[in-house]
Formats: sequence, structure tokens, C-alpha cells
Amino acid sequence: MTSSPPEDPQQPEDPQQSKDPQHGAPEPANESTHHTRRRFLTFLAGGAAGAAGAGAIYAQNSSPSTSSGPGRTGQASPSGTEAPGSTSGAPAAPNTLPASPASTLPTFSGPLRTLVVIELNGGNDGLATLVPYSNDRLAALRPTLMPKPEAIIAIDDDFGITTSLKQNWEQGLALVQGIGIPGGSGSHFEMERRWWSGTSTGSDLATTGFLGRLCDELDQGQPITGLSLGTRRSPAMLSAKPVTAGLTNPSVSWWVNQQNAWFSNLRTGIAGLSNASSADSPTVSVAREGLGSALDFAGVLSNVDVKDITARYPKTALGWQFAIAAEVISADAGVRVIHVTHGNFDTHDSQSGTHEHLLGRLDEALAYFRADLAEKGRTDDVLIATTSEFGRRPQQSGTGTDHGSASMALLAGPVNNGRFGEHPSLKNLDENDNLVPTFTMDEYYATIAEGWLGVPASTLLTNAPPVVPGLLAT
Amino acid sequence: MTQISQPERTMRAIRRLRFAPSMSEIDRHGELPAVEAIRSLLDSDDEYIPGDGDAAAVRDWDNANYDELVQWWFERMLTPSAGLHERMVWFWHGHLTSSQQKVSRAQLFGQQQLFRTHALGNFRDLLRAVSIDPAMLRYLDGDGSVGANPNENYARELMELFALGVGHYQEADIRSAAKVLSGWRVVDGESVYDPEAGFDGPVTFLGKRQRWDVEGIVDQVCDHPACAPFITAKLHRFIAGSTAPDDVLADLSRVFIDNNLEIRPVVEAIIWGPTFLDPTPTRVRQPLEWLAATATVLGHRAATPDAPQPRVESWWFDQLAQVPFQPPNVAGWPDDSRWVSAGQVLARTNLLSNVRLPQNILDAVAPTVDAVLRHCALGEVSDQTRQALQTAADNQPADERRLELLLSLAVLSPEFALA
Repeated sequence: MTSSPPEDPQQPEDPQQSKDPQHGAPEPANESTHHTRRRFLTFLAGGAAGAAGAGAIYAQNSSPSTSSGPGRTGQASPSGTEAPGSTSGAPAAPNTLPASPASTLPTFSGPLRTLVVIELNGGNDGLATLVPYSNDRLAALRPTLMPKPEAIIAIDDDFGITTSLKQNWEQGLALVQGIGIPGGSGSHFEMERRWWSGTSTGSDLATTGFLGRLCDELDQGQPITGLSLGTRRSPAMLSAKPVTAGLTNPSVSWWVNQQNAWFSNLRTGIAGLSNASSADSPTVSVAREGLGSALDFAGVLSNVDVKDITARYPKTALGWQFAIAAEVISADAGVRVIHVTHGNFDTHDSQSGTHEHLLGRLDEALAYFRADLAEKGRTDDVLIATTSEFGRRPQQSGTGTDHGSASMALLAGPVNNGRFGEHPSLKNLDENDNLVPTFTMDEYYATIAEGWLGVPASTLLTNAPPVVPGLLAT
Repeated sequence: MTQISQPERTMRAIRRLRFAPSMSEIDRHGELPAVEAIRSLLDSDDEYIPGDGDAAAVRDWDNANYDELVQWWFERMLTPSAGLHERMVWFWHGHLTSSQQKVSRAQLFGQQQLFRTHALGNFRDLLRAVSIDPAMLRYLDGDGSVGANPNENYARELMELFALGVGHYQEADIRSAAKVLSGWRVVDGESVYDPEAGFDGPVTFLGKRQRWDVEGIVDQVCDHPACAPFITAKLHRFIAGSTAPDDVLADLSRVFIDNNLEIRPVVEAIIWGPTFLDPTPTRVRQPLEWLAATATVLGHRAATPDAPQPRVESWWFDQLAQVPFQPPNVAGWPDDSRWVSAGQVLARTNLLSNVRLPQNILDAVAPTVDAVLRHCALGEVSDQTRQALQTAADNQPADERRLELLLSLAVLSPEFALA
């Protein structure tokens, strides 16, 4: 039945008002068989989804393992032993990567590792997050922006973390220092584009996103492998295969469970509209895939009790996104990568208050999320990682900071807590007076993709670096 | 398919040259050959600019809420004769965007007026005006920027997003422009220049060293060889839905330059050019465009204070992830196929599943596939779409919301999701 977040007053009307009490539905007009996940459509269009749990739905769909690689099999819990190299795909430009055959990847069964990416959009100030609090040079560059001593939790004699992140610091965080793209630009859009697409040079134009390609590799025929929460599907989630979706509100799926003939005919009609034809233009093909995936994913969402979960989280946009993420993870519905956004960290003005507020919101919502995962027994299965297009310039400008270069990233989950890597020098700045990155985006992405999810970085990144040892505790 | 039928060519012109094609406009233009329909649609375009006596122009918008401002604009979009001009206002709002995040309602309304005035006017005038527009000064931090330590936000976006694109300027150009553009403040809703806070000295900007003012900076940007191709390519994408082929782009750029950056001639060149009625549909309706067209199909009105039911409530915009005056960032909304992805379909289906049609639609549209397609300004659809609708028509009793079902499927179809 209809449900929506408590703060959201607009619930659909009672769908039972619909007059037709009839059950059952005609056969789908034009069953498409060209894609595995389409079998799921037939099932939904038959109107039976309402009574079935996700487990039953996926049982129909799970393909037998033909894995010949060293991937996970059976119920064995993920233990970091999934070696790379199980695909034959040679390094290639990201936009021309062939989708590797699903048969070479680990079989989908039981709890699998999930990645949750938190994009701190706008450019998070690494220097105000992990603060070199005893650095005189920074104090001189930021006469009014240095946090007061009581706003810092000292890690050692030189560095402290802002108290805005107190809860999560106490629960455990890895702080990746100096993360950035060497030779990057100062433009949000250029640097967002590079982070989203996973291309470290400006000339390397990928048509898919890094997380989208990751989902292409992880795809096992489930309706949705990558889920982008928030107001739109992140460009980072653009995939070559129709394996990712964006979601603004989970209550949008209520119609998938309605049993009467009107809704059954609606689902049959949508399935019919999703049927591909050789006459379709590329854009029409994308539209048809969207129709098909919508039906598929509505089935996943139909098992999420929105009212219950959002009551337990902070009433913030981020709290809502984490609440849905936790449910989707515990549903074991095949979603492996989830993208949430938080911001806006573009603190040109009034940085101190804004930055504290934003990190405080993050701390609050993330703490709930981690507690929820712990309650669900999934702490060891979920890696949480932040990204941000760049950091801020060390020198303050007015009451804020301009676009910089290197920032820092937070990792939570099975990681080695504390400072990691080398903090960028405040002495040797680049020609724009910005920090020089000491940990590259490529290294970060390779470590997450290959070290955590077992997808060879060479299938995702041009000139993929090796996994950086010591960051993940696996 | 390589050919499209004459009726579909005409219907496509209607879908693209009206914001929300209504029954009256389909009847008025639908039987004309496409070329005549285009002329007729352009000639009868409603170019609404609230004048001095207009209620919207004198309203104290800061005492209204954002929803009222959004619904005021949505009502304009639903006006039957609102077409190219209204679509260009929407285009400029997405291109030279500002957000309620940092801008007051009165300032956003002022920026609307600016876009309405220049929508099809001169690009140079538009860019000069927007560079010191209170809403833009607020949104991109020109407000309070001082020459000694200027804020670079607007200077950067002026070149990167608004007029040239990446690769046609250096970071040093941004710093120079930021100095020249400093010294402005928004005081009581008006833009005010304070010479003391500004910068008065020579700087090198895009290869030229001299003293500059705002108009000089904007002119130097507009006269840059990258400007005309950048703007015309984006206009082509918005109006025709596809990436302009090189020869078309070269022609359009020449038209733009030869006409001293007048917008109307280049827009009409796109409309009369070879790509506008290209047989391969590519133009994705953005969620708001889809919602306006769908609201008209379903007989819904904007939720203005006195509007009758049924109405498009403000949360519909949120659910479709596109709220006017709330762009995701300074690049505005993306204009690509993500708007036909699964998340959109879920949200759209959710809205449609609750729809109750008003009596005038029930009276005017027969619950048959042909009547429904015409009502949606669809001249020709794929076999799959026709078959999906026909199956629904065959299986759903006419008196049990068959028309709602057929209209829902029609507006969810790929043909309607594209324009």
C-alpha cells in the first residue's frame, strides 16, 4: 500500500478506489526475450508480484553459476580473496570497454559486498575536515578560518579531525589524505566530470560513469545493480547496460502491487511499450530500457516499508538516502553500488558555519546508517567512501575559500582507521597556490573497485594503478 | 524508420513549438502541412512579458512563497499559445541559471523578466544584463566581491558555462575578469556599483591588455571565436534535440555572427534547417516539459490560488526531479536521455496512477487509440506503442477508466517522452 516519508505530505490517493475488482491479466502483448532481466517483466505483468517477496522473484531469475574464475561461489562470505584477473578484458579506453560476460564474475547468492559512495558535492575543504592545526603556514593563510581548539579532536601533535565528525570518528574512520587529480582544473564541472567518469585527464572523454562501468561488470542479471539516490541519477552511475537507476522517492512504486485489472493492464502496457524493435533510434532504445527497468525495480522497492524506516533516521535529505540504502542492502536484491549526495560544499562565503553544518549533518546521518547496518548484521559487507571534486585553496578569500585541488576522503567500514597516506605540503603549493595531490583519484578508485569488489581496475580505468595496500582491512 | 509521415511532421512541429500542445492548438494547426504549421505556430506565438500594469509585475514576490512563483510560471507554460518564446525563457533559465538556494523570489522574478525581455533578442545585451543582474550577483557571488581579492565564481562560469566552454581561456583570464567584475553589491534588491570596492587598472584578458568595464569584458567574450559555435550548438541541442553536424553548426554560427548575435534569426535557422524534423527522434522532453504537456493532455491546471481542480500540485515537480528555480547546480539541468531512465518512469507512473480526468476531457476524447494519440499530438507511433495501447483498449472496459489507462500509456510512450 501507499506509504511515503512522514515529512512528505503528498501521498498518492488510495489506489483501492479504483473500481475494477478483477484479478488476473492478459498475457503481455509482446514478450521480449532478448534480455535475461526481461523474464522478470513477464512475471510482474502477470500481476503476481504483490504477494511475492523479493526472494521468490529473484529465485526465478538467478542464473546458475558457470564461473570459471576465482570469484566467490556458494554461500562463502566475502573475505577479500576474490582475486582480480577473472575477466579477459584487456585495458581499454573506458568509453569503449566491452561488457565482460557475466559468467566470469562471482555468482550472486547471499550477502555480497556493497559499496556506498557519498558524493560531497561542491568541493569539500580537506583542510577544515582533517585539520593541520599546529601548522603556522596554514594559520597565516587563514587568519579567520582556523577552527578553535575546542572544535578539533587531536589525532596527533599535528593533525586533528573536526568535532563535526565526532560520532563517526569514534566509530572509526579512515582519513585518506591529499586525494585529488594531479593536473586538474579549478572548474566544478570539469572536475565533477572527471570524478564521475573516472577519467583523470581532461581529454579522455568517457560516455559512461565510473560507478556505471563498475555496475556493468558486477551485473548478474538482477533488475538494478547500481542505485543513485537523491534528486537525479548521478552521471557517475551512467552505465553501458541498463543496470543502474535513479530514485527520488521509494513510494513511487506503490502501483506495482495493485491487483485489479486497471493496474494489471497498466503494467502489461508498460511492458509492451518497453519492447525493443530494430526500428528504434538510440534514444528510443534508452527510453524503452527505462520503461522495462522501471517495472523491474518497482518490484524491488515494493518490499521497502518507507514509513517505518524513515521514522528512524534524521529528517534530512541525506538521512532519507541512507535509510533507503540500508533497506536496499538488506533486501539482497542484487544492488551492489549505491550513490548518495550531500552538499553543497562550495564554500566561497561564510565557510566556517556552512562547513560545520554540512559535516554535522553527514555525521548524524552516517552514524544512523552505520548503526542500522550493524543491527542488520551488514557492517562487514558495506564499504562507505566519500568523493568530492576537489578541495579548497589554502588561502582564504573573504569569509570563504576558492576552488582548490587536493582534498581528503573518508572511508568507513572494513578499513584501517586513522590518517592514511601523506598529507599534502602547505609549503610546496602548485602554480595556483593549491595543494598538490598525494593520493590520486585513480588509486582511490582502483582500491575500491579491485580491493573491495574484486573488479579488475584495468577494466574500469585507463592506465589503472595497483590497489593501494593497507587502506582496506580485508 | 527513415521517413516520417506528413501528419507526424506537423505534430512534431506542434510538440516542439508549443510548450504544452492543447486540443485547440492541435485543431488549429494539425491539418496544415508541416511548413505551414511551423509558420502558423511561430506567427501565433504568445510572447508574454509582464508589463507595468500586470499583476505579476507589481506583485511583492518576497511575500509569496517559492511554490507560488513556480506555479505562476507553470501557468504561463500551460497557456495554449505559449510556444517558442516561453521555451526560450525556459532555455535561458537553464543556461544562465540561478537558484532559490541563494536568491530571493523577487530577484528570481526580476531575472524572469530579463529572460522574457531578451529571450529572442540579442545575446550580447542578454549577457551584459545578466552579468549585473541582482539574482546572478547573488547566485554566483558577485555581490560583495572586491577588487583587492575578487570572487572568481561568475568570471569562471561566464566563460566556461555561459559563453565559451572549457579550453578557450586560461585561469589567468578568470582572475582578470574577476577583478573587473568586482565592486558590485545588491542593495535593496538593486545592483549597485561601488568604485571603491571595484578594480580600476589594466589587466590582460583573453589576450588583450587594457582597462576594462563589465560591458568590455562581456564584449570580449562575445567576440571570441568560440562564442558563436558554443551558443548555437547548445541552442541546436535544445531545439532540435541532437548534436548539430559540423556543416550545420558552421552555418548557424555564421548566421549568429552576421546578425550581430541576435538570437531569433539563429533559432529560426534551426527551425527551418535540415535537422528540426529529422526522421530519427532524439529530443528528450525534460521532466518539466513532459509534465506541462501531460498536464494539458490530462486537463490539469497549474495550482494557482483560484485554479479549479484537477491541478498539478507543487510536489509533482519534486517527484519528477525538476523544479523551476532549483537547478541542481550552475550548469542547469542536463539535457540528455537520463530523463527517460527508470527513475523517471517510476515517478511518472506513480503520478499517472492516481489521475482522475475532468469532465471536459472525458467529453472531448473518445477512449480509442486513434483519438488518444491525436489528443497527445502524436501523428504516428511505433508498432509497439500502438499495440500496447490497442491491447489496453481491448482489455479495459470503457466505463472503468479506460481513457485514463490509454492516456497514461500514451504519455509514458517513448514517442511522447521524446518530442
